[in-house]
Amino acid sequence: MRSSVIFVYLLLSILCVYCSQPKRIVDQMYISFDHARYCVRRLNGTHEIGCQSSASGNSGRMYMIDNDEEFNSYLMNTKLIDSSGSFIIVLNVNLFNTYYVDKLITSLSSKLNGLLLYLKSTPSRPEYFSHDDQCPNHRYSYYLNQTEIINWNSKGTGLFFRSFPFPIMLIDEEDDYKQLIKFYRQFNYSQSSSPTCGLELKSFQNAAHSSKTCIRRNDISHSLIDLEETFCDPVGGLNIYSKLPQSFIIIPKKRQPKSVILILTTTDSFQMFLKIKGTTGGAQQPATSLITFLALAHLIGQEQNEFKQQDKEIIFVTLDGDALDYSASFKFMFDMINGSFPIGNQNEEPIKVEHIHSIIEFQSLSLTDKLSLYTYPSSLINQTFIDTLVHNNPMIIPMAVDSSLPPASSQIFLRQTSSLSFPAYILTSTNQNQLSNHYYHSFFDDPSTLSINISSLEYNSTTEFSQWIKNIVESFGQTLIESFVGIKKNVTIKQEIINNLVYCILKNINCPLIHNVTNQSTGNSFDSSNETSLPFSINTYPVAATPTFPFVQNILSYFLRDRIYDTYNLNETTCKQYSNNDSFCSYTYVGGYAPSIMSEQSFDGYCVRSYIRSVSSMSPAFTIDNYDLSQTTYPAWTESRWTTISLRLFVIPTRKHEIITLVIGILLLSVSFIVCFILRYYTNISLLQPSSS
Amino acid sequence: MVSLSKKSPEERLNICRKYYRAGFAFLPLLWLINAIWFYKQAFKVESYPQQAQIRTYVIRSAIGTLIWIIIIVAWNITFQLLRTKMGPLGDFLTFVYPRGYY
Repeated sequence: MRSSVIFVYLLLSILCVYCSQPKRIVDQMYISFDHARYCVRRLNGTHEIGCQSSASGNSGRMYMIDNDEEFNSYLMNTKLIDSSGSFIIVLNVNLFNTYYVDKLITSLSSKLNGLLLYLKSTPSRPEYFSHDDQCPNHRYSYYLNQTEIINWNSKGTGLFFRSFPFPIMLIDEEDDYKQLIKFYRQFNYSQSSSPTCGLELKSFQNAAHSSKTCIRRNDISHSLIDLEETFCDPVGGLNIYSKLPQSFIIIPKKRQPKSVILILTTTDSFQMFLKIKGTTGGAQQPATSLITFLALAHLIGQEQNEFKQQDKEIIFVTLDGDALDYSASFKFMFDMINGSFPIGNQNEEPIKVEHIHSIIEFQSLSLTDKLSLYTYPSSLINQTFIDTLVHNNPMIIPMAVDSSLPPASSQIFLRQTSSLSFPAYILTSTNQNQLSNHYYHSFFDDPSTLSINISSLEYNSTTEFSQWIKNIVESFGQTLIESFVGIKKNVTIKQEIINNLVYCILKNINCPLIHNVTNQSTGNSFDSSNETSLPFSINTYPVAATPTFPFVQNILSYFLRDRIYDTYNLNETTCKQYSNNDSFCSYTYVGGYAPSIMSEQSFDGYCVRSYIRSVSSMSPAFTIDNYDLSQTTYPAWTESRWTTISLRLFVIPTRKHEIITLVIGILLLSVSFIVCFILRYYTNISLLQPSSS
Repeated sequence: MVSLSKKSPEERLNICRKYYRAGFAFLPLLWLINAIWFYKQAFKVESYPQQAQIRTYVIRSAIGTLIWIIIIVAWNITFQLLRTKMGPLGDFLTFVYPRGYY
C-alpha cells in the first residue's frame, strides 16, 4: 500500500516537471495584441461621441484594405460581403478619413462590426492626421454668431466628434503589424471555403446617451444595493497659478485697477486613440507653449529685482481642460467673476475683471521661422508693447487689426468680459489662417515634428528647438521689462535650463531637474513615471495619478521663488518655522537646481519661498446647483469608464470543420450516455440504496 | 406535502378560504395556486357539502389571477417602451441600469 502511494507521488512529480509549461487551450486559440490603441466614449450635455463595443467584444471576419484600389474592389465584391455575417475591416491609417469611413458604413451597415487601423512603420505615417474639427472648439468660440468661419485645422476630419456603434482600434507598433500580416497571408484567401482570420475587439464603455443622463445615474443609488456604480467622470484637472512672492494686497488695502497681467498656457490635449503607458502626443500643442511658458517664468523670476520696482503683478496661469470646449477657461472666468480668484487666503484681496491689465497667451506653437501675434480688441491694445516685441524679435509678425483669433483660451476670457475690459495678445504659429500643426490633437504630435531625435536626446543636449525657445523667451522677457519697468535691459536665460526642460517634458519626467526642485517624498513620486514623457491627455475628476500637475506646480513655483532665500543657509526645521508664520506662501526644503541659482555660495539644501495655487478646472456646469446639463451656457464634458480593452486574433474554421466538430460532439455525448447505461445494467453497484450484506 | 385527500372537507374549505383571503394582500401567486390546486376538488371530485363554497373561491381566484396578469403585462410593455422616453422618471424607476446603453 505504502509503496503504491510513493509510486503515485513520484509519477505526479515527474509529470509536473515535464509538463511545467501548462498551456491553456484558450491561449493556443487566440493571439492577443496588448499594445493596441483604442477609442473610448465621451459625452457632453446632449450627445455622445466615440466608440462602443458589445460587452463580450465585437468579432468578425478580418479583411485587410491597404489602398484605394483594394477598397473599391472590396466594396464591389458582393459575394465576399455576403459570405460572412460580420466583418472587422483592417484599414491602413492613411485611409482613415470621412470619405472611406462613411462609404464603409453605408455599404456594410450592420455587417461592419469594427475597424482596426494599422500603421506600417514610423516613417510611413500620414502627412496630416488630425481628427479634431476643421474649426476646433467652434461650439464655444468667440465668433458664434458670425457666418464666416475660418477653418484653422483644414485637414481635420472631425471623426473624433462622431459616434460610432462599433469599436475602432489602432496598431502603431511595427511588430504587431508584422504579426498581423503574417497570419492574414497565411490564412486568408478570397474563397470563403477555407479557414479565415477573425478579430475580436473589446472596448466596452459604461456610459451612454449624454452627460446629463450619466451624471443622473451616477447620483441615484437604491439603498438596497450598497455599491454605487459610477458610469462617467467629469472632465477637469487643475488650473495652476503662481506669481512672484512680492508684496501682497491684504484687505483692507485696495487693489489698483489694471494692475494684473495674466500669462496663459494649457496643459492638456486629446487624442482619438489612447494607449495605457503609451505616448500621448502633444509635442507641438501644448508642450512647446508649456516649455516657453516655464522658461519665461524662470526669466521673470531671475529678474525679480527689476519687477519689484513697479506695481504690476504678473501671474502665470496654466489651464487644464481647454482642448474640449474651453472648460478650464470657463471655470477660471467663473471664479474670477465670483471673487474666488485667487483662492487660499481670505485676507488677500480678490482679483476681479477690472484689475486685469492684459492677458498674454502662448498657444499652438510649432518650430516655425515666423510666429504670428494676434491681438484683440483694437481699442484696448497697447501698440507700443507690440512694436517693442516685434523690434526685439523680428520673427514675430503682428496680425492685422481685429483679425479673427485662432482657437485659444483667450477667446473665452474676451467673451465673458464682452471684450470691454482688457486686451488679449496671443502668440501662435499659424500661416495664412492655418495652424502649422499637421497633427493637431493627435498622438502623432511627437517630438519628431520639432526636429528632435528623441532617442539621442540627453539631459543637456542643445537642439535647434531649444535654441529657438531661448530666442523667443529672451525677447519676450526683454519686452516685458521695457514695457512695465521702463528700462532697456538685455536679459538672458541659460541654455542649460531650456535643454533640461525640453528633456524632462518630452523624454523623461523623472529627471534631475524635478528631483532638485522638490522635497524627498514628492521627488520619489516621479520614480514610477520613469522613461515617460509628460502626458498630455484628457484628465478627469477625481484627478487621476497623472504626474503633469505636480510637475508643473513644483517647477513653476521654484522658478518664481523668492531668490533672497538662495543666499540663506537654512535647515529643514527653520524652513518649517518660516512656513508657520506666513499664511500666503509655501515653504519647501529642496536640494536646489544649480543652473538657476545665482549666488556664489552653494549649500546642501535651500528653503524655497513661493506662491502657488491649484484649483479644480472642472466646468462650472458640474459645480453650480441645479444646473441643467443640457444647457449650453457652460460645456459639460464627461468621459466614460471602462474595464478591459482587448484585441485578439483567432481563426474562423470552414463550414465543414464546424459541422464535423458538432457531429463529433453529439456522437461523444450519445456514446457516453450508452456506456453509462450499459454499466448500470450489467453491474450491481447502486449508489442510492444502502449496501446490503 | 399536504395531501388534500387526507384532510376532512372542513379543513379543505379552511385552506381554500385562507388562500383566497390572503391573495388580496397583492399576492396573485396565492390565487393562482389556489385555483390550480383546488380545481380538482371543486369540479372533478364527487360533491360534498363544502364543494359549492370551494367552487366560488376557485372561480374568484382565477378571475383575480387573470386581472393581475393583465396589469403586470401591461405595465411591463409600457415600461419597456417608454423607459427612455420618460427622462428622469424612467431612471428613477429603474433598479439596475443598463451599462453602456441608454
